[in-house]
Amino acid sequence: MNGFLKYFYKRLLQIILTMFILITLLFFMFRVVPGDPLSMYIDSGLDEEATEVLLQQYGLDKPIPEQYIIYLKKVLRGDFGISFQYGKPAINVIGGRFWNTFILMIASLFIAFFTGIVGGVFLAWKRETLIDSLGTTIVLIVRSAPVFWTGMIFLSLFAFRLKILPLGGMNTPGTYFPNQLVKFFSIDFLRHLILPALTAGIHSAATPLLVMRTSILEVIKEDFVELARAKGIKENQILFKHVMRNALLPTVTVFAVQAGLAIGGIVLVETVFRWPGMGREIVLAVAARDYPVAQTAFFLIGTMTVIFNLIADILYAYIDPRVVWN
Amino acid sequence: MKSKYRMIIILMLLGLLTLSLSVFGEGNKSISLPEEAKVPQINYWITSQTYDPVRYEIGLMVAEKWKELGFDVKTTCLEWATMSSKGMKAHEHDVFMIQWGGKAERIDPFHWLYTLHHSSEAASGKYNVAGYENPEYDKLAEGFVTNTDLEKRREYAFKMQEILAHDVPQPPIVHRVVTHAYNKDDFENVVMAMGEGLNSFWNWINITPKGDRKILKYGYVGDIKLLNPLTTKTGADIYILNIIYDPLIRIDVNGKPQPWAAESYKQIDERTVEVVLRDNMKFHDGTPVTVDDVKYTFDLAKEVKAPYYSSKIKYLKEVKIVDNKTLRFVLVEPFAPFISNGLALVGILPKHIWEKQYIEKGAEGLLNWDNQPPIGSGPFKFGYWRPNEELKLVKNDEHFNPPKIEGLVRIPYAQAYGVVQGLKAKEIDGSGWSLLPLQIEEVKDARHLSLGRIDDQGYYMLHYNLRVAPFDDINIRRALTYAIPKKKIVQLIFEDLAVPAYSVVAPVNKFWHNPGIEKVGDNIEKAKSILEESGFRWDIDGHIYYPENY
Amino acid sequence: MFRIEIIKNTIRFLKQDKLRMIGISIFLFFLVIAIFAVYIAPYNPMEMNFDGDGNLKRLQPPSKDHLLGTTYMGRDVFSQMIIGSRIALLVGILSAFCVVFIGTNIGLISGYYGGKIDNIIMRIVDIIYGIPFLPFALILVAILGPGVKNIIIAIVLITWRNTARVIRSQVLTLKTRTFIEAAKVSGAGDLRIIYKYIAPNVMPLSIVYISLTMGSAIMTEVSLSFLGYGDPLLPSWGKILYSCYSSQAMFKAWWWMVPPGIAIILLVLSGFLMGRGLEEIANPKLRIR
Repeated sequence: MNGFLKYFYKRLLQIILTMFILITLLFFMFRVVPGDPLSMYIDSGLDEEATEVLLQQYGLDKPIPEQYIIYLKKVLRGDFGISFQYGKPAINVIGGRFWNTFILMIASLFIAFFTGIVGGVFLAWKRETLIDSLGTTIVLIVRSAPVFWTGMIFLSLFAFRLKILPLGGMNTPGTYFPNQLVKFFSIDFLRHLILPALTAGIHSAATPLLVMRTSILEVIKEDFVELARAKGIKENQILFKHVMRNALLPTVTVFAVQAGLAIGGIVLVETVFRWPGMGREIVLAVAARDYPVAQTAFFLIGTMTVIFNLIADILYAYIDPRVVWN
Repeated sequence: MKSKYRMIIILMLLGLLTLSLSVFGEGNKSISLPEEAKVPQINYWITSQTYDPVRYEIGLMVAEKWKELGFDVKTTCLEWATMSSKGMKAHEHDVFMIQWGGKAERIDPFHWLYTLHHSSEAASGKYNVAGYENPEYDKLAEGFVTNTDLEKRREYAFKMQEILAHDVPQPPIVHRVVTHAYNKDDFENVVMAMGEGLNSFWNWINITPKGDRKILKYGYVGDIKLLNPLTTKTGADIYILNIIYDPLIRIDVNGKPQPWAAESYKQIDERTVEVVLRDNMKFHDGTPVTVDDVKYTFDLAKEVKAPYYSSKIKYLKEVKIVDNKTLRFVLVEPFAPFISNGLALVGILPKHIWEKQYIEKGAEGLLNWDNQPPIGSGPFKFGYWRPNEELKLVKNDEHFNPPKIEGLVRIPYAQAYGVVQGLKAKEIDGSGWSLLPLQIEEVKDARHLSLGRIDDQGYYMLHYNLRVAPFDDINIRRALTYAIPKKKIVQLIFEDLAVPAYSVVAPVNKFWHNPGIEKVGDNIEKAKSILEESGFRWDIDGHIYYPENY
Repeated sequence: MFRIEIIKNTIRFLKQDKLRMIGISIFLFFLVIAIFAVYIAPYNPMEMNFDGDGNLKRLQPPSKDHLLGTTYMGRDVFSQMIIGSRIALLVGILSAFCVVFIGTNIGLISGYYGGKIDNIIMRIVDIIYGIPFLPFALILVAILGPGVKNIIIAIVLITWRNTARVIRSQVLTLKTRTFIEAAKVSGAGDLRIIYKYIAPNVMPLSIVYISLTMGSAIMTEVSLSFLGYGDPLLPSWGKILYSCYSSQAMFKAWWWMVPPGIAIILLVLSGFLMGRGLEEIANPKLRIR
């Protein structure tokens, strides 16, 4: 296991390096841009003097290398700057959105996981029948469809035509909750959560589902299954105890990888459903050239991605020890 | 390599080649007149569809018309931030379009007539984006700004509009028709004011409940961002601050300044305005409003260089306290718009609160302070703000002109569609968000809803660059402007929720608008004849060339 | 005669693999449409259409004149779909080639040389894996300016990571084979070994990746266009969906919303099927990420 720990620490170091590069990358990308953030506010009646004052305040008048050092020092303290749009520390603006995205991610991954496993098992069970072909085709179609388009279809169907679910957003305007916890467990919230989570969920479920199906089909062919059959163990038992356990691991791995990719896709889902999360915030912040908020959001999203990749790698290392001794 | 793979590769490469040619290849046209005489290409910057679909569509329509006249027009999509820094600031453009908002401070047309067109404002970073330089016009503009006689100013304003309508350095294109909706079953006495519609102060003061419900809920897209009157830049925030804080003077619905927190005001000489403060006003925390608070407000704004206030008090030299009811505002130079653009837009801050904060936080900290709860002396008091849920303002009973409603609740929506649904479902009683044609259709079905309409004082303005060809030629400008299909734009892009604009001062601004000016637009025939009469030539492909011996 | 044999063999081989045939057919279908797009589209996709009375034909359902109806601004959806196929295929194919070209070369070099070079390259790849793709592409395109060129750049900058990793592990396995040893012993230079002996053996995998990458590149372009950062002046399927969504007419005009989605599904699916993606992807042992 020692080699494993070494690998883990190496990966951890790498993560830190990655985050550092991410931050630096971001910083330079935004600064070397044509156009500055104040230009978003010019027709609000800001004259030249006020513009100069604001430029100074946001530190945009110092030379770039100097800005970078100041920026790094601040980031290490957790200070990502003051949002140009909201006048609040960027971390506060994103902080407000972080949990919304997190909950949506968890809900969609939940749906993806179960759909993937149950679907994979089902199709494997029905292998070589019409249902299998049909099912696989449907899964492929869902996988090939843009996730936001699926969202638009769901909105049209369930929210607009059937009117059983809301049109978007996170809660009905004007409703009041005494605290966050109550809010997240309320029926109103859950009603708003279903469609976006479902949309993101089935999109992420597609690949794991296919992997699960294939894994099961492969494991079934293996010797120890024949042995179990010969022993007289029931087909169902074989499926659940022996096959699933072995087929599950590669599926879980692929799923972790998928989760890492899904984070980027959350941006699309949040946009279609107007879900007030980090994904939507980054789109708005980029459009407004609100550097601090866009950077913070990107950084947090990047962190989540890196963590999920780490989990995926650990799982890989678990299945295939060869990987570790690179 | 297996043959099936090879086939796929070859297919893809072939496809790629053909596609590249078809997408990026452009044919070359032949010429028959001397190349040097060809009128240079016009590079028309338009916004992306994302940023503003209106400007995008208008750009495409206008470019088509100009091409009909034989001009070589290239439309380029730029990010707003880029367009702003290259065009608005650096003036490197050929032509692009801006939407100028019809804010209260622009009712006195100082902005439209002076800031946008005086030659001193043509330098980099300033608003005379076109670089218009006309000495005759400059003289009139200067008179307009320094002369404190209202009638004389009006004369100047009329003459200036005439000149601009003829020279068309930066022609206005259309005024939107601002359309707001409200619940007429439960509320009456709605006031749609210039530039702000339902969001205006006068509406909130006058709107009256008909039934038992005395608290009005209204919806808007997006939440407010910051309630610091020194810093806030967003229109939505300013609407709220406007009713929490009282300024000395307010602009009424007709565009004329009325004393408000001031009992009266008088122009002493061309540089000095004397103001008598109203008695018995109190801040929301009970402290009386005194001349000290007024002086402090202006002094503080100057000292910390408050972004929002500083542009309004640019010409203010000092504020003198004459006695415990009277103040004098002394300007650096005569500046007639100071009253409507300065005094009318600076809300009085409570000295005892802001002084403490300033000492504690310093200038930078003060400008970043979230100012919760905001304490002003206006007709509404701050109730609470639950971000992304609602903001509540409560009637200030002690105010000298209290509102008729007991309270105002502002509910942020994620999107305009949500606002419409909210109106129909009676979740909200009104919306200060201008509705689009599709949304208006929905609202029309609802019996309890009524629409308030008012033409916008602001407009979409096309900024030519007179420093470069071909916009340096007045005949070309006039021809291009005559070719603009303003009526079609109104019909197709705005679905008749707009009116064509001809003067830089909007018709809805009745006092200042000159209705007798030349109406340039919607006449491509006239455009052609202007060009022909000036000697322009065309080759067989229809491209336009300068006259001989130009 | 020899030629005919090859063609016959190819067709027979292809027919054996039905899924791949379907993929190729769909791809060819779109390719032909894209190449002849200008001749097929009945209207100029950006042109507003008016009826006999001079009224704008807004949001009209499918009819004889407009096979897929019209948009909010009276534009012909069918023409937009046809012309939009060009961008989809252009971005898809070009990105796919660039990505796989870069990824394969890096994979070859990294896998063959091993040691420090391999280490550094793989570290870089790991770091790139930490960058969330869509947010990065979004920021990059917003900064450089929306346009086909920048979208392709954004795609290429990140997506090569997959190919590099997989090619590299293939090379690792190949490296130990006897014929490579033999080549080394006979004095063949490194580059020669890589490109003459190893490369042809990893080609099949690269080609699989060309197909797969085409699908994901198209998906990225569509996503960026939907967020509003697509090429502003060229019609693309993503942009059609963007217009549909932002004009809030999507609920009323199914003819505007559904066709682009279907076209995207078909084209991405074809990339998938062509690369026999179904099996390769579903096999975790191939470590496709």
